[in-house]
Amino acid sequence: MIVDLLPTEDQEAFRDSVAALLADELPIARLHEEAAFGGAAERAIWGTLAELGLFGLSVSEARGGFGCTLAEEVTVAREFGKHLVSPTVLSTMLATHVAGDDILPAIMAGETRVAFANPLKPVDFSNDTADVQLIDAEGVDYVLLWNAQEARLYRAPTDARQAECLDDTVGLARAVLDLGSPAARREGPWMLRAASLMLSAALAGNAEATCAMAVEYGKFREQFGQPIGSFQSIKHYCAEMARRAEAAVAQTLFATLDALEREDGNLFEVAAARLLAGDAARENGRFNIQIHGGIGFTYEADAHLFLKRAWLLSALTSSERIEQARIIAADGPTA
Amino acid sequence: MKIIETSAERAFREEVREWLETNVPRDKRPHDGPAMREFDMAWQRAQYDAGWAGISWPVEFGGRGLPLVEQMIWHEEYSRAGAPSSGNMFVALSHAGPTLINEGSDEQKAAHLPRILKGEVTWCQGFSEPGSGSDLGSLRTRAEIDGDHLVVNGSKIWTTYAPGSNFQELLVRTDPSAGKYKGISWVICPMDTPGIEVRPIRAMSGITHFAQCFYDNARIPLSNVVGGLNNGWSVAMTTLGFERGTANIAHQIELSRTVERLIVIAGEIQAPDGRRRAIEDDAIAGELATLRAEVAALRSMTALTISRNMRQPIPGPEGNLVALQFGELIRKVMKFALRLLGAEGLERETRFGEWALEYLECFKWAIGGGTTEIRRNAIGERLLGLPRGPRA
Ligand SMILES: Cc1cc2nc3c(=O)[nH]c(=O)nc-3n(C[C@H](O)[C@H](O)[C@H](O)COP(=O)(O)OP(=O)(O)OC[C@H]3O[C@@H](n4cnc5c(N)ncnc54)[C@H](O)[C@@H]3O)c2cc1C
Repeated sequence: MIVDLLPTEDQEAFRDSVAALLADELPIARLHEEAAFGGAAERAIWGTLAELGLFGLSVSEARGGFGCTLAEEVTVAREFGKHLVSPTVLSTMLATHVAGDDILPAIMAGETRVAFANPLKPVDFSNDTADVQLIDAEGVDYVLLWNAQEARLYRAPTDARQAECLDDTVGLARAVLDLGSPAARREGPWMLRAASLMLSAALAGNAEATCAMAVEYGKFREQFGQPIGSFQSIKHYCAEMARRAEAAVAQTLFATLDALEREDGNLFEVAAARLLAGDAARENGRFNIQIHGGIGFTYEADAHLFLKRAWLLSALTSSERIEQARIIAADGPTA
Repeated sequence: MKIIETSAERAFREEVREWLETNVPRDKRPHDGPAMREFDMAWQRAQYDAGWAGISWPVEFGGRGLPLVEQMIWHEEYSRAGAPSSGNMFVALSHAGPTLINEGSDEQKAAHLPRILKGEVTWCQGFSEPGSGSDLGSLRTRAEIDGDHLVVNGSKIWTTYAPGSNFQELLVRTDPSAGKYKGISWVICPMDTPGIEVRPIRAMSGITHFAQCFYDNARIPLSNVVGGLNNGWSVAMTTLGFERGTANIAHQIELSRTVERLIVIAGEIQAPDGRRRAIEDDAIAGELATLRAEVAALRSMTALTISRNMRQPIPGPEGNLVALQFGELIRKVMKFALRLLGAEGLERETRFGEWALEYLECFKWAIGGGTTEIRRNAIGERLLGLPRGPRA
């Protein structure tokens, strides 16, 4: 399969318009104010996000969408990763792959939001209930839950119990989800692919952002009369951060095209993307803190925000062990 | 971001695949010596006779002149068919040839390019010296002009496939008074020139592929200078930029085949506890999965690099990311292989005997052609824009 992994002109234009909006409306600095936590900053501009077409990107034109594909969604998810955008933007985009005509128009119009439901055990839809964590679910109407066989939307539970999250900029609530009456269903493994790739893209963007931060600081901060980035150990950390980010981005983009090419193919490429993107974000997060020295250890700096988000996104319906098991069980790489 | 293989290109792929299926040599490639060199030349000749030589070389010099996508397809199918590496032909095909195409005179091109494609001659690369490795620009092998000849004195080292090769791309200092990178020339050196001695060097694997070359008043015609006297640094650097990343496809596919072989072996041999197959041991399966994912990422990184190179006239420093990933990953894979094989991996004559050799050989990828450290410097400085250390 010969691919071009750089954006087409259309993809680039759309990505740039999203990136410009994020730079204006959702700068990282917002996450130093509690008022923006839990997806509040995103809620405040939800209408604008909807107007941009985010919640109808891969919906067919016949159903009022843009008729694009997961390739365009993944392209913007990478930008969301760089800006630590609330996971609920991703889950709402993903919900458009499941929602029926009763729910979809409201999602596309920006009137309905959908949060991730993160299962504490592998999901078995034949059970009565599932213990889940709801992520940035304040005021959402639905939650999204999937396994390798199926994806479902449920009405958001009303009796969720707030909990404190490792990533304190994100809202986390525990709930017992009644699996009995879904609001929408889609059979097949598509959501596992789509969600894994969207989360991989956000993680890859996260890894790219920390690499860029570390490089900037390396040019700016001086010790011993020179920029610390001229010290080889710092330079080599940065080179490794760039390599990890590149690996995560490249594998996520390749796996996306592969998933679009053969919807029923094996899961290998997707799981590889998820494994490497999670690792890249967490490792780069750690080195970014180290390169910032004492400031890197403070609550005031941005560095910890990226590391915490990397752990959160890595753990959504996934773990290193789960992805490794998928990789080894699969047929192997796409030619 | 899209799939770009057209139906015409798919047809080309089919054609390539069919030819390779019946024509890839079935005999095992000899490990070293003249037999290996003859094997490599014969395989090149077979490709030439069937019209597959010089897939990306201009038609006027006997190549196919095919665009990048076809080149990628050729490399993919070539490696997937398990075709042998170009070996003794490598420098001629991937380095000297492209340099001559870019910088050579008409006479130089006519004299050398067709013979390379036909597999009639092999070349080696005389760049590194005992005192100049990573800091190649410090090289000291001298060439003084005497009438219409250069008189060369000095030594080159780590010259792969020097024994038996017909020509050498030789970097010499022709103007010691000019700046470090200014007084160097790129010369076609016939290896049968009197005054040249080649002493083979045995590598840690026991294999003897490289050598030290000594030049004692070796006289080389001035007309063998390529790209102009004292312009050798820029000639050498352009060739490095000539390669658009397609050569990495072969390495990556070969490494992928290696990991797939390990997965098969792990399904056959026992885990260390002797109670189950190795692949049923979670730690082993986990490590194999991570290696499989990292090799897939290497494939994707190669694709991303080539995508960039399709858009820019001269390939940028991003190529170092792929080379860095490859050099470190192959060592991880080989280390894992020896740990998996345990005691059996120690014996070089058993069914797993090849792994010890491959393990010992893999170290070269983090040294030859630019060390891991030099690549990290290049990424830091040229790609990320961090302040320079000592100039590489
Ligand atoms: C298998 C093999 C085949 C080869 N084939 C050829 C060939 O055909 N033709 C040819 O011309 N050459 C060949 N080489 C030589 C190869 O290019 C050099 O070995 C390589 O460039 C390193 O140079 P060196 O060996 O002198 O090591 P040095 O440059 O002395 O390096 C020693 C150590 O110091 C580190 N180091 C050096 N400078 C820096 C720096 N600025 N920052 C950080 N670390 C640094 C290096 O990374 C390395 O770890 C081959 C080498 C190998 C291993």
